[in-house]
Amino acid sequence: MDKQGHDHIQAGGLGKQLISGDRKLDILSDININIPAASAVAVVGASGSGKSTLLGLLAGLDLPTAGNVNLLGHSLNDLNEDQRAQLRAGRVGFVFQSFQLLPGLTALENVGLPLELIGDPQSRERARDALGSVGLQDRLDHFPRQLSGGEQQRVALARAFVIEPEVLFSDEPTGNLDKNTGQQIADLMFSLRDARQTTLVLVTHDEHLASRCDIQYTLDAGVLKTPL
Amino acid sequence: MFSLSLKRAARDWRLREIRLLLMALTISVLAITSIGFFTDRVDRGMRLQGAALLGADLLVQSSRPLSDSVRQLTRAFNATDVVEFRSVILSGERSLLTEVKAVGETYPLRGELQTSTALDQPGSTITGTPKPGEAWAAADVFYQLGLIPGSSVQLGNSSFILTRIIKFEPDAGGSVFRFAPRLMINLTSLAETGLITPASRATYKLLISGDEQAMLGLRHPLQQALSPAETLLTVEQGRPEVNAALDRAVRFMKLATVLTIIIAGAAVALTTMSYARRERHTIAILKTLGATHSRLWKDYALRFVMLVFIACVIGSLLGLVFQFVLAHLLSSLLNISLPAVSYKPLVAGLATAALTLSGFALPSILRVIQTPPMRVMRAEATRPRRQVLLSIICISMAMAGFLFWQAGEFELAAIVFVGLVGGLGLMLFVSWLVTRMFQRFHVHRGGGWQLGLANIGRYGRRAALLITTIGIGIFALSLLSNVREDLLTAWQNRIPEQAPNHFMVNIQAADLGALDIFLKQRKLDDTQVYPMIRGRLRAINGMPARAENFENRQAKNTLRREINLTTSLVLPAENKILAGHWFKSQPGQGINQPPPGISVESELAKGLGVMLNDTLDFDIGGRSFSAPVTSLRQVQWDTMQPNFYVIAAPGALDDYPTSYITAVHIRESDTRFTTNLVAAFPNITVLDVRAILKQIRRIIEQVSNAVEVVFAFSLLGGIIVLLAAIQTQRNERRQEIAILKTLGASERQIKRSVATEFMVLGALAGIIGTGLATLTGWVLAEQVLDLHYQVSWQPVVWGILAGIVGLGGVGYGVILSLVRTPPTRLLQEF
Repeated sequence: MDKQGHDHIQAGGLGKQLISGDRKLDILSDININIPAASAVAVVGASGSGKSTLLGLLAGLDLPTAGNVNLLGHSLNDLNEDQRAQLRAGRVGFVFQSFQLLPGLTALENVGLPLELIGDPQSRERARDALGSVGLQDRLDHFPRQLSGGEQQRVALARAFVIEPEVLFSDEPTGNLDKNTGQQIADLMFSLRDARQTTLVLVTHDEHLASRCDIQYTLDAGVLKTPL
Repeated sequence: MFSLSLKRAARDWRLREIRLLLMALTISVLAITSIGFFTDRVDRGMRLQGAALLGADLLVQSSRPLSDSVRQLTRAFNATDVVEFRSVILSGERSLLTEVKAVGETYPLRGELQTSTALDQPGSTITGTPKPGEAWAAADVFYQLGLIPGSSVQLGNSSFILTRIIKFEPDAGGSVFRFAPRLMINLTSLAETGLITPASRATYKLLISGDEQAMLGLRHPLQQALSPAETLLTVEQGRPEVNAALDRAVRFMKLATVLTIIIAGAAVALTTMSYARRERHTIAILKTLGATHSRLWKDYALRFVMLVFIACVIGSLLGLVFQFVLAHLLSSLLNISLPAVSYKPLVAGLATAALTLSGFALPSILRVIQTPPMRVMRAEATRPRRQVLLSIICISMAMAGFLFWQAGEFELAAIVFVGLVGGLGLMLFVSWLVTRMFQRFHVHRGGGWQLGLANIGRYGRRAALLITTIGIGIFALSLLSNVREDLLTAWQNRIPEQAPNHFMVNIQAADLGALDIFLKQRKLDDTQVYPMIRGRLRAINGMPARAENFENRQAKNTLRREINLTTSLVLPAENKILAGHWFKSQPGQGINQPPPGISVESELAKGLGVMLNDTLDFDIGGRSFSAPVTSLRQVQWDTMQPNFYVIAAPGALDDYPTSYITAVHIRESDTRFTTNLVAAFPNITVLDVRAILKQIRRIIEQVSNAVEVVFAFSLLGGIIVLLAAIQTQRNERRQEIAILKTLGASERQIKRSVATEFMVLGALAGIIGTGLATLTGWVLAEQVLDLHYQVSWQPVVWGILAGIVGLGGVGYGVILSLVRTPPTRLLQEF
């Protein structure tokens, strides 16, 4: 597994156009970005600047209308949705602003989910360890609705790191939390990342949070500005 | 690998959608199994009752002693012989033509023979047959010969003592007309009479009975073994009155089963849509984490297999229990011993649950699995919509599958299918039209009702969904209730209270005037008297017509015996001209002029291959009568009126030996009618058909009850649809109502808005549903069920009211659960 020396993500001439009624909307245009392995990259921008769309394209959740993304050595344009999902399984982690836990599963089951998807026989034990590493060893059997926002985001962090991902995509991870809790979550996320040298792609409007990354890009009306 | 899938599936049970889905599936399984179990048993039971009218399960009839091949085949079964012939009996100086029936020891194999020992006593069931040397006779024999029980009569070389009066004979024959009264003797006494020789004209019958499977198995080999003179009669062919009622009831039940499943299908479609909406987000998360489509498919397939299995177990068990309860509740009314439950409905239950789910739930699941992973970040991310077309294809295929499978006949299935698919299309079109119409509607004063109307325009998909599902429900229920109403009315009308219960035959021309006075004195005024001429069909278009040249059973039968011809100036009631013209009265036409033609019953014409303008040649008492066919006529055989295969123009048969027939309704209280009539007109034979009428009425009552019970299941299905609609709308409206409340809308405004929207949509669903049901019902009644359809506005009004009240109720249910909940909680729950 290469942790350093290569670009984990390369995007060239990336564009996303949406058609709304008779109008064409350019959400993103001509984005070129290379993200080296084990680096932490932040994309900062105002609401509606296209940050989340960019993150979705880089992670292969959606396909661009122009250009291409190369993720972990695979050209995403050449893969169908299932192949892109298989590429993410076990190698890519996510942390979202709204946590995105499955309400019907307990904390332990939520964390074990990505391991089950790759058929890991040790999923239960590893999930328990991961929850321990985020300080939720006593909340294993709680359902998301029984947890606070901060706790839910910890579960999401445990779910993201349990597979020891090569790349972690994080979309406004502190956006739904108060300042203190947000700070704690950010600290936890960076410490886990640092320990595993995970490539981090963080999109946020929080410049303070962005400043903790190695490289910062600014996205303005769909156009990416050179790193600060 | 599936441990989490199983856990997720198990936790799904907490969702209302899954519980409703299970309920809807269970209802369809319950409907098909209980109706299946029940109709299967009732159908078989009623066929047994039908068998009573045949005196057996199967009957072989011949003009000659039965062939060895038939005897060999039936040796292993319960069988008994009957020989019937006409002969004159003597009592002192007086003689009387009787229809003699020599019966074996075990006669009748099905049904009951009722006799009495005194003329004025009611009949009671008797087991056994006349002992050798004894004879039982119809009351007429006693009246006409002036005898009392214990008297003796001479038949051929033997003398018999009349010991009992026959009050009811189950197998009175395919026709209620008998030309001479019955005399029943023991088969062992027959040879001594010396009346049966190879040349004598007699009918030989072999009555056979056994368990259902054995009888079914015997039919084909028996059919193959018949000699040209032999005919096989089954229960279905036994009596037209019973067959028609049975046939329609079974058809109705099948239709009700299918429509109940389709109603349950509408509930399944509704709840799955709601469930799929809930699952969209989960699927997006799973895809983000690396789940592939095949993995998701397996997940949902697992869940649905579990659902089908559980629905099947619960539904079948309930179905089984319910049909026992049903059979028990109706046992006094049904008055038939039902045969054991068969396993077949269970298989049907499993297939139904699987088919309902795949047909009605699949489109939503297919679509939700396509949810793009990007939805985790942008809630509006969706795939292009192909759902409507996909849904229509899936649902249409499921409905077609059910209809053709369950209805079992193409015509019925095709008519209902066209009605349903046409209905779906029309409902979608109207939804689109109405949505467009209300889009122009602007809220001026912020009144609740204005908001409600505007909402119809704003949420086109929602309006379409409600109109379509509720409309299909109303369509199905309305169609069933229309057809049910028609069936019940038709049955009641067909054998009305005042239906003739006494037939008078062998009336001579000389007696007509006196008989008319006799009847008028008893206030039997408008009695129609038909001339009756016995003739045998000899040739068609000059070519000799022989029974062995025809495949058709009816044609064969007709050619082997004499049939009744009559003349009439007016087309008898319940007869319908299908081709050609009824006779026009031609003033001045004398009896010496050539006959203008004959009208032939359409089924017989079909069997004989006779068309309009063909010439039929009859042998009437050794003389020929030829006439061209000028019309083909449909006859309602299941009426208690004299019916004729061939009717000639008035005057055409005046030269031939004619007797007359009439039928009258005699009040129960008039116990002396027969005695007085026979005393006044010794030549007239009176046939009392009250027992037969009672039997037919009882059967009709039973089927009517079964029809009502079956209808109740469909209503239950309708309630589930409404519950499903409440559930989907709860989910849909939660956010909307929370936001309205947050923005300051009053409870009253919200209530009015929701109520207006639902009631308008309900009225629309009602109009389309009942309109289509009326149209489909009309086609169905006329084409399939052979009923006269009464178009009336009443069901349409009821349907619209049902739509308004039903959907209004849904609205009320939604409001009730949401309007009192604080908006913050509503938003959290979503």
